[in-house]
Amino acid sequence: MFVLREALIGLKRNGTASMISIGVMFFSLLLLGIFLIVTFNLFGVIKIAQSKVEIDAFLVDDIDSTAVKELKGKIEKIVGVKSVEFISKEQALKEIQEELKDVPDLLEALETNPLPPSFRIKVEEGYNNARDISDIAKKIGMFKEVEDVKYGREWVPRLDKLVKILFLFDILVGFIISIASIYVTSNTIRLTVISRKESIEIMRLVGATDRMIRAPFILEGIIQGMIGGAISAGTLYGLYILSSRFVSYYFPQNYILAGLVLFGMLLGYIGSRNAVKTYLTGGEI
Amino acid sequence: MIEIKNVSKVFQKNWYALRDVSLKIEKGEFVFIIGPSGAGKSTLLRLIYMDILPDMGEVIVAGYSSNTIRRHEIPILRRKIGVIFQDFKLLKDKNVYENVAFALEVTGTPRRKIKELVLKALADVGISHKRNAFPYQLSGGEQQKVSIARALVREPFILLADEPTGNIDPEGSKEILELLKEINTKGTAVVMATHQVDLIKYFPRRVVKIEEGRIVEDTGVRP
Repeated sequence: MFVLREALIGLKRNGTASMISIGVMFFSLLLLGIFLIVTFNLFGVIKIAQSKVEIDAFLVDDIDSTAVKELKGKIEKIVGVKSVEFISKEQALKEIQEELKDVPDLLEALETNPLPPSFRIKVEEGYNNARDISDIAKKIGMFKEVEDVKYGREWVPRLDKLVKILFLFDILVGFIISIASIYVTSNTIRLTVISRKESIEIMRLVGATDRMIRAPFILEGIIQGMIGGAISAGTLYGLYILSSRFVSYYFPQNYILAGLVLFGMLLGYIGSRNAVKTYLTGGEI
Repeated sequence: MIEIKNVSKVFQKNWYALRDVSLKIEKGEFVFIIGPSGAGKSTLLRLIYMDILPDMGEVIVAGYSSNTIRRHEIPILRRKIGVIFQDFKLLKDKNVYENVAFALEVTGTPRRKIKELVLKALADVGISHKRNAFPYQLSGGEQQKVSIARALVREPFILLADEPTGNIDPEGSKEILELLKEINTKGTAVVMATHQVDLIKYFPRRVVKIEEGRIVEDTGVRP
């Protein structure tokens, strides 16, 4: 009761200092929110790219339909294979024609259909990394009806590497933003604490425990963080609405709202705890 | 009850605030600590309520030793020690009643009890009629009474007064001294640091004189 009352009084009385704290947390959280949105979208794009990873298994020209069926069943049983689609010679030609319709001369030169029938194989999520794909491709290549296997041998490892680097970079940036937010918030909340130095001094003098001295500040910090988080989530949503007219991107609104409010509270908690530390019993000892 | 054994306190490199000080204060005593400003009077009081710990020697207060006391025990000790200062240290945004109640609230006293204890403490120092006033509406003497009420509300065994009359006119100073006397007769020990030596002649009691961090005179207990 006392703690809650002191915290509310503190918020009201130190209006300016509170506003500054909320403002600083708002900017920190806004930055974090932007970071989260970028991360979500980046990994969304990567997921799409990874789902595009597929293996083409080119078959012998004279394969009959029973053999195709049988082979399809065998390939489908390989661990990590998601789907197998048969592309007949005719279909392959059609696809090529479609792709090369701007240069019809090239196709006119063709008298017979040189394209082999093939399977287009998609892999399960979690198997779309360079090593698993090459394993699956090798297994497929071992069937005698399969003449050749192709997959993005060059770009799949590159995508893999890119994902790893982006992931590390993302964690690093997230870490830096978090640490910087905590640092800046601690220093800002220190303003509030300094403005109530006398009250802390008296509390220490009359025998209040550290916990009791800290509690109102921490509660105040958490409330400020919550407000800062809610405002920054709202601002980001507003920006999303405005910008979605020009660019389309994914806005994970529930994650953003929950994440920013929770992180705001955490920020307020850690910040106020740090800020008040120097003024506790034993601070001078 | 309070024992200071060969205590030295160094604040900055080689600057001794206190040097090899030994002093014993018994239950219910009244002691004046006198000496010029900067002699080490405040340091001595801060050592007693363990705001600072000695660099050498030992301070024992109510069974707690400065060498072994734990951080979380310090607040417990302070609840039994009243401290008042020259600048009163009242919260400007709280009225008289709230200032005194604050000392109980922050140590978790039940609400029902707070009112009773605060009103009694205010009555004891004779400031009940101003309980709704704010510090800026009071004279220095009245403010000091409020801070005494705050120190007494927890019924401490000792009251430490650091230049309590430093900001108060002579008339008010005598009144405060009278109040401290009265508190002492009820059994609370009083240790009063002052550089106003003339006050002592109104109330001759044990006098400890400090100069440059050393005790240079101790009259011993006077009746």
